[in-house]
Amino acid sequence: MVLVFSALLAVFVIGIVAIPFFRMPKKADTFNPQNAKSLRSRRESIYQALETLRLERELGQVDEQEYQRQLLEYRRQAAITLQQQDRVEGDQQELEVLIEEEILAARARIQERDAPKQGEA
Amino acid sequence: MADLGSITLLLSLALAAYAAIGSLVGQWRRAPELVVSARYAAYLTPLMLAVSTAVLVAAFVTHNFELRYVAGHSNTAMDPWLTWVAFYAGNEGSMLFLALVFSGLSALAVWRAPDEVRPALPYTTFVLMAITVFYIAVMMTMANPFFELPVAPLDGEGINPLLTHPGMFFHPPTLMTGLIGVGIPFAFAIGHLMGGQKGDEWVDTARVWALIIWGTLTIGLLLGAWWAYTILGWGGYWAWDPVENAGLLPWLPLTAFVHSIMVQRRRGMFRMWNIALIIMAWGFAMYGMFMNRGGPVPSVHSFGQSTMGWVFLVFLGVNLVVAFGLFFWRYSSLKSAAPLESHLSREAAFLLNNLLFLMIALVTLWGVVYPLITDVFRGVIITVGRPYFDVVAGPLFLALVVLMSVGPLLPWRRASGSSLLRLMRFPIVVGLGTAGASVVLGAADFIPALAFGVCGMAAAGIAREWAKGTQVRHAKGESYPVAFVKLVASNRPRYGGYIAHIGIIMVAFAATGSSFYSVQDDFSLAPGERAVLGDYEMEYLGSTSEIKSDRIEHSADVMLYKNGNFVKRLQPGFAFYPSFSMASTRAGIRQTPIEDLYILASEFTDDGRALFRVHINPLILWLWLAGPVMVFGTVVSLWPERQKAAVAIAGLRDAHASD
Repeated sequence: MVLVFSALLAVFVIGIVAIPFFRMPKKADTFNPQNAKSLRSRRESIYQALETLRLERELGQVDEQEYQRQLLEYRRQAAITLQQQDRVEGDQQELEVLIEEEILAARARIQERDAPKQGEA
Repeated sequence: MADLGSITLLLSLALAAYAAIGSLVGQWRRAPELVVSARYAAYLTPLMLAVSTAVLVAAFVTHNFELRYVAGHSNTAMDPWLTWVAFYAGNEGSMLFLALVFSGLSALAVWRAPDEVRPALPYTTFVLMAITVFYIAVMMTMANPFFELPVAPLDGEGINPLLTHPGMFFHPPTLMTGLIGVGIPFAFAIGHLMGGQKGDEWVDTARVWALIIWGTLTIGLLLGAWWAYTILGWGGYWAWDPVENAGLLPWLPLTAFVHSIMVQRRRGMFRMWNIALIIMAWGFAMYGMFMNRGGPVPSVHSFGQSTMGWVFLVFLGVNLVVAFGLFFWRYSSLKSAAPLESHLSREAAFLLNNLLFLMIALVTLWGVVYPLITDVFRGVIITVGRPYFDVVAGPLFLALVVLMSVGPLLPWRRASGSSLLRLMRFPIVVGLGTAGASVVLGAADFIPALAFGVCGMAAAGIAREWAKGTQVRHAKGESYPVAFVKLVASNRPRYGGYIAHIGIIMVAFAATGSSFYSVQDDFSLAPGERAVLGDYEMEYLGSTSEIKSDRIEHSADVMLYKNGNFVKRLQPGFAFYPSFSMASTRAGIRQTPIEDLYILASEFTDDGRALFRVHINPLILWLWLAGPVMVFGTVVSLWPERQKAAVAIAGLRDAHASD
């Protein structure tokens, strides 16, 4: 009984471990520091730094001069990140439009190709 | 059934080994199928170990004394509720517990890994699974819980009497989880180095895991102190025992790490430092395992009969050599992204905090290894006891509490001396007031008055932060309670950290009170006699003895009075276990926020007299209350923050447009 159960367990384990060799999951382990997600994350951390800076000013921990200096620097960083993000997301949108156009064109070609056949029928 | 346990152990070893090798080879050969397959194996490893665990627990429940481990750590007289404790009461079971917990945490860490760490995830998986392989392999070859005896005894030897305490349900699991769990942030750091990533991708994930493990280890240490206080019968909670120190040692660099990782997260600084800290924390955790399992110094906390200490020592050496080797190999990519702008900044305060934690770790380590060194080189064992640790570690801990009062008031990047002095005015006044009040209340000595003052100063620094922040929000139209809650929610890592600091201040407060103002006396009383200690008077009414299947329980009946008024009836006593020639103490404790009246009944004579040791331990309750406060602070720090950029981005765009 124990041996049968153990054998079944071993088969189950081997089956699970072998799955990726037959059906690879779609999610790949890639990370591009210039992709939209990481840029969003960078934007978020700059925003958090700004929030903390504002809080520190309100608590009287940084004086006005230091606050303005850091604010300017964070704004500059934020502007650069936003520009990069606009570019990446713009590229992505452009790519999506191109793909959509390609699909529509392909569909149109198929419809054109099939239309005479239907007419003949 | 035991065969199933052995087979699943073997399967888990094969899976973990495959996961480790598959991750590495798959990454090198750019074979994503192999990497994902290895990851699935990492997910299955804890499942197989869970089956092994279930088999072992079932063996305890069914009194299967064919298994040497079950026969050695339980008997038919054992209360069923102790089955879970018996599971990890010995070396073999605790190794299974460690392997199960670590593989489970590893699977969770790999499964929940965010995108930033995914390129290095195969390396991280390799490290996690290599550690898992080590634990399973050592268990199978040197401490197999499924080893079967040729002839099963009719009854087992029973559970160690010192473990028959409710604290044992939680103290060993939390402490072991805390120690082995340091391997998770360590694996992300090493994975980052192996993967050759140049940024701070590993930081967020390692921070989250380090905080979880820090909270667990903290609770494990505090529960251990509670257990020692209530069952070991010496009236204290921390003896600077070598194995206690081995639990404390990884906590120190890990605490430094959870602070300095914030600097890397925020400013890209301290990159080398953070890697070095987490390697040290892991090294100390492995050192703790070595001390616990056949280390050279016997302790009430160690598995005395274990001989596998040298294996852990070799593993520790290999880990340190490989980790620091990688560290130096990737040295050039670990330079800080920004310089330290000012010595008067939050970053500088974190650095000083780190140095203090490391100094405490080093002097503690020196106290632990010094007897070994004298033994090896001079042939004499010189015991390093509490006076050494009190003198060298005490002032350093006090300096840390001072820093806790200054640190929260410092801004990131740069502060001006004048603004810091202005912000410190209130904490300093409160600190002086607390020190003065403690002198008025009887703390006549300088050092404890200073320590109470420092605790007051640190608490006031945090209170000022909260009060001022709440006031600012209130001025914008929020009610005070809403303003306070929203303040904490607005920056959870910061304010959660402050809550944890409150817990640390409570520990310092309790440690100061109990270290400097405990009093004790011994009394031999006949029934009806009374004894006086401080404001307390105790009346011994008589004793009872009860013979149970595995022990003889003795308890005294004591009426307690304070300033002449009856306050509580206590039953201090002990249970003697003939098969172990060992007694487990049950102290009678009357606990208040001011002090504990702690009574031990150590001996009962035939003429009805009883020998009592009575302690008055001030402020102990604050030590136990500190645990939940620190856990709450950790949870607040870890609570996921709502993505706010969508709201902020419009403002940023506007700001940019207006420049």
